[in-house]
Amino acid sequence: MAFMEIKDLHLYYETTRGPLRAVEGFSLSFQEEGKTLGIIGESGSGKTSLSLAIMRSIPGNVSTYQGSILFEGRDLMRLSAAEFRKDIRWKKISMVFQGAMNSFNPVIQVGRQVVERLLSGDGISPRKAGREAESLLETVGLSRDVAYRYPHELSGGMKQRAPIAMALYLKPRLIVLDEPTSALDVSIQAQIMNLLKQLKWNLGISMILITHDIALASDICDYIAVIHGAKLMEYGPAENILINPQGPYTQKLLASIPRLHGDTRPQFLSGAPCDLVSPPPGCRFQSRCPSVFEPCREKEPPWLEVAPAHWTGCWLYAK
Amino acid sequence: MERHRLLSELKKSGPGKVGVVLFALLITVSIYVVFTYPPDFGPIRWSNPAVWADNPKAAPPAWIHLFSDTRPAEHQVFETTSPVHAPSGETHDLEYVFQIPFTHQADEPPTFLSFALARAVYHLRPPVVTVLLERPDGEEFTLYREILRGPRPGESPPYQRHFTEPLRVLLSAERRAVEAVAGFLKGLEDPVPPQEQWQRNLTAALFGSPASPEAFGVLSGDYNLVVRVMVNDPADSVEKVRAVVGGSVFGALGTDILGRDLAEGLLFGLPVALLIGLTASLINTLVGTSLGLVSGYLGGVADVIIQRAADIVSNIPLLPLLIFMVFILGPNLWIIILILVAFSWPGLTIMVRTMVLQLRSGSEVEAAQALGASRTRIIFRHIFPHTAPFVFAQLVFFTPSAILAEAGLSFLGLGDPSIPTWGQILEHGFRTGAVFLGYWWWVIPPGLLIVLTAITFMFLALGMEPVVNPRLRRARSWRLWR
Amino acid sequence: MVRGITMVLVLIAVQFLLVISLGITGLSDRMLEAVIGEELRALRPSLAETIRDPDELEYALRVRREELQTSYGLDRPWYHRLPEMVSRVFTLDLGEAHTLRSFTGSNRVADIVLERLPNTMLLLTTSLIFTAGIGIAVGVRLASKVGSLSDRIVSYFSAVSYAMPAWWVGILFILLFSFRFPIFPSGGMYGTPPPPAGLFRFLDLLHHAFLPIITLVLASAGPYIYVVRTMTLDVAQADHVTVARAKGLTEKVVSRRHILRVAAPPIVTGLVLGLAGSLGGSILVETVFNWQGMGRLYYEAVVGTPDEMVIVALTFMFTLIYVIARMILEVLYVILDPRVRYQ
Repeated sequence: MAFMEIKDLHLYYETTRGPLRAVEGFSLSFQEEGKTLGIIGESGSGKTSLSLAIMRSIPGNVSTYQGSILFEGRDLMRLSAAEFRKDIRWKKISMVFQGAMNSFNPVIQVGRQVVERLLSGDGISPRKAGREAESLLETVGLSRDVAYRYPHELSGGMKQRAPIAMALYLKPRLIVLDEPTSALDVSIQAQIMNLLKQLKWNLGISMILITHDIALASDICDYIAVIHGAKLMEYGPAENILINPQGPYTQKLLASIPRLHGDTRPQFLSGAPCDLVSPPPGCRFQSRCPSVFEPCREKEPPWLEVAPAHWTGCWLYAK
Repeated sequence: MERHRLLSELKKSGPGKVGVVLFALLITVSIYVVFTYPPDFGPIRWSNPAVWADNPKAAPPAWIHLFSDTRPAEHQVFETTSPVHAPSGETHDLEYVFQIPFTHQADEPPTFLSFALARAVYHLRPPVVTVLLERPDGEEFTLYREILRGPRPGESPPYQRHFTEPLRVLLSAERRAVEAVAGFLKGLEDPVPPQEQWQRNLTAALFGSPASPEAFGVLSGDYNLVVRVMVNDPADSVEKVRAVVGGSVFGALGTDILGRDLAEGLLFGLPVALLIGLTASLINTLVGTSLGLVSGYLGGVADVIIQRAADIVSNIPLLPLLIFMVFILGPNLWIIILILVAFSWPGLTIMVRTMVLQLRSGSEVEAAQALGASRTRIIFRHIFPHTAPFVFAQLVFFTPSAILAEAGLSFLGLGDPSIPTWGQILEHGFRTGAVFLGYWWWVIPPGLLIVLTAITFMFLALGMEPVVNPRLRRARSWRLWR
Repeated sequence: MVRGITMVLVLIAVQFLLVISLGITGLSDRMLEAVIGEELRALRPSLAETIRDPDELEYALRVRREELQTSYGLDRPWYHRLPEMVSRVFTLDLGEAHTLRSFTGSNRVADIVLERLPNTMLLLTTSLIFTAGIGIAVGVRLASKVGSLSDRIVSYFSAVSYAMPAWWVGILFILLFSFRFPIFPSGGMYGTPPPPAGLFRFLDLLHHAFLPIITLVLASAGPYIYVVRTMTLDVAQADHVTVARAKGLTEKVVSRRHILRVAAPPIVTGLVLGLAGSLGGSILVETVFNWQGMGRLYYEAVVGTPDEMVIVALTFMFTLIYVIARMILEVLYVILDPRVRYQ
């Protein structure tokens, strides 16, 4: 049985113009535990919405939220909010949000927030909770006294690590990280990535890493899923995707990365992602695809296995 | 660019539309007032007792009869210059007789009865003026009989009396009228109300018959007020006779205790209020914005000084200082406006300064500086336009504050006495006890007008909120006193 | 703390303003002359006992007057006397009032003003507490129900009550609940004659205080509800709230610790911003309801024979109250928001 299986996940927001289809029929099988799945896409492709959908942390203006997420033998979408909160939330699946700087309540000490759930329910003494917080912070490479500081007293890099500590403290099996390193300078980026790698190797935590930075994904991910226009375009083992991309979108994406050596110039994608409120029929990439042809504009492409465990949604591969 | 967006946004939103409509209404009425009222309405009309002498005092508006069963007494004013009889030239026919017929159809008596006589000329001896009231039931009361003032030493004929000031007599309180009524009542068989009850205002007795020992019933019907002027010389003359049957209601909004038509006064208050509000707001905006621009862009010593000053001034409670300064410097409208501005500018200054600080480090200003633009040019062409929508919103938002501030000051008796405002009307009412006597028509409309005007601007400001708010989170605009 | 220094500066600035205004308009001279006049009047009978000759008596008094003038500094222009005037204002040593008297009959300005202080404080603090309580309770509730019918109704009500002068509302209340339906007294603090001291007296006070307090609360709570609602909404949209929910905390904990607790500082600020308005409002409401506090004294000092010194004293006292209240709220703010500590 797969570690986590997402089937046909939909998330639409309500807008004045109509429903905005942020996640459209997302299906994916995260096979093994302890691996990292990377989800890559441009801004506006629905990555963050996807993360929120998996976490069941959707905002108030949602019009459609359906699908199924099979995990530990249960469909998470079928659980009541209370059940999800009691069993899964943060205990099995936790998250590091985008813009981690603001993950913290500005008027409460960092440590208290890191182990907050312990404090409120399970009758742990404050002193023990404090020690727990301290050790967690140490795990992510922060000094123990950070626990007693306020969020505004932390530097940028520290503010990035603390949410990771917070995500860890109930020892979840899966952590979803949404852009954990954007808006950080490169050296801190490297530190965070190293931290994540350590967590992966030492604690065996599965991760879903959402990013627009392909280089980052290539550094740590075992599997990569490529999203465009709220739909999954390609999915497979990281090596395959990076070295031998099959879908035109992925190819274009990779071609846009500048190379350090050689004189291939980076190619860019013209145009803009399609409108998610009224997307065109057929493939979401049709307006920008170099290999676009008839069926692309009419029907959505089928999801085909073009290589072992490597899938693509493109008409080019339909026979 | 942003200006147009502001206006279009305004027209779109709900409150914005209402605000625009109301504002247009207020402006239209104000223009009407400005063109139809005399400029020094205050001293010439409002504070001039002669203008209001004939009105009933503290009378409710005329339309209340729609809500009750009692028919109110109508307010009637008559004037005649043609006597029904003039001296014919024969020896014993030396009398002018003026007749003023009128009808009283109501469930309550008139509030007063008065007559006035103007422009009398005599040559030998002063004329004798007699006034009688003929009632529908045939009774006749002599209400007044007096001789006009005789010649003064040094005066030579023809003697002129009551050319500048008419002779005004309140018949319903005249001594002779009291006697006439007393005499009439004595002649009746049934027990009648005692003299103390009716002697101060005779209209109940004059226009009614005793219905019980406690009260008079109203006698409706045709009455006739006869003014007889007995002269000695046929060349003597009386030009004009006027009679007022005081109504129990008057006008669109009633009258105050001096008989002033409240509708007139309140209408005048509208352009005044708008003037006060907009002027104060405009000056405040000018001062606040300039200081904010200077402080934010130039920085340095100027910034420190302005900031400290703004900090101190913004921590001063407005009304107590306002009271003190107006008290010391005198209740003049301009002083009031200027002091209001003097204590209100920091809010805008601080807001503008914050925005300028952000813009100053932005790329637009940097580019302009690189191109060698002068400081003035940068401030006016590159910084101010971005602050303009917020400044404008504050302009709109401060206007009701100024209006309310002036109203409060007037209520405390510190208003400019030469320019009647709504606050002053309320102050007058409060001081004379209108509140405790239940004169709701005096007390409610001015307040409603204040509220309406303030709400107009608030709706306008609300309509502008979508454009202005995202960056204006914690506007200092709540710093209003009521 | 910078704020504390600013507040003190405010107080000093206001005093200087008062004193300079008095000096420029010549009122301070007049006041001192009046003080001297009082002293001489008191001196006359005792002098008359020793000096029989009327001319000599007048001469002695004149000499004394000149001595006093020199000692008070009246022989020099007013700006030489600034420091003493400032300290006079500060200690309310402002001589005597023309016509106003205190309840105990004294005509010293200080007595008149100070004995009314508790009455004003009663009205002010009670209405402030109610305003804060209602504002926070309702505002927070509304923030959780944004866009609902009750939210929109209350928002419009807030906008309207912001436009309504409190004192006019007070007048309406008198019309309605004193004149039309005689439930409440139309003014004053106690009935005439006041009931004997004790419970009944206290209840009588409450009875009289009801309308003024309701008026003040209505006028301030309306807009404050909107402010609280907006601040709370602001905070409720913040990222850390989403995170808190994702962490699996109960909604109660989220709203208490992550929304309310974080919204507390700006809510306090909202209270501070409305404070000046409440102060002004209380002056006018006291006037309307003939509540024997300092606000009503303003009215009596302005409308009767003008009593300048009383007005000076009142202005100073109100500023003092305002400054103290703000300092208290500033301290509260610092306690609530760790971000502004130890700058």
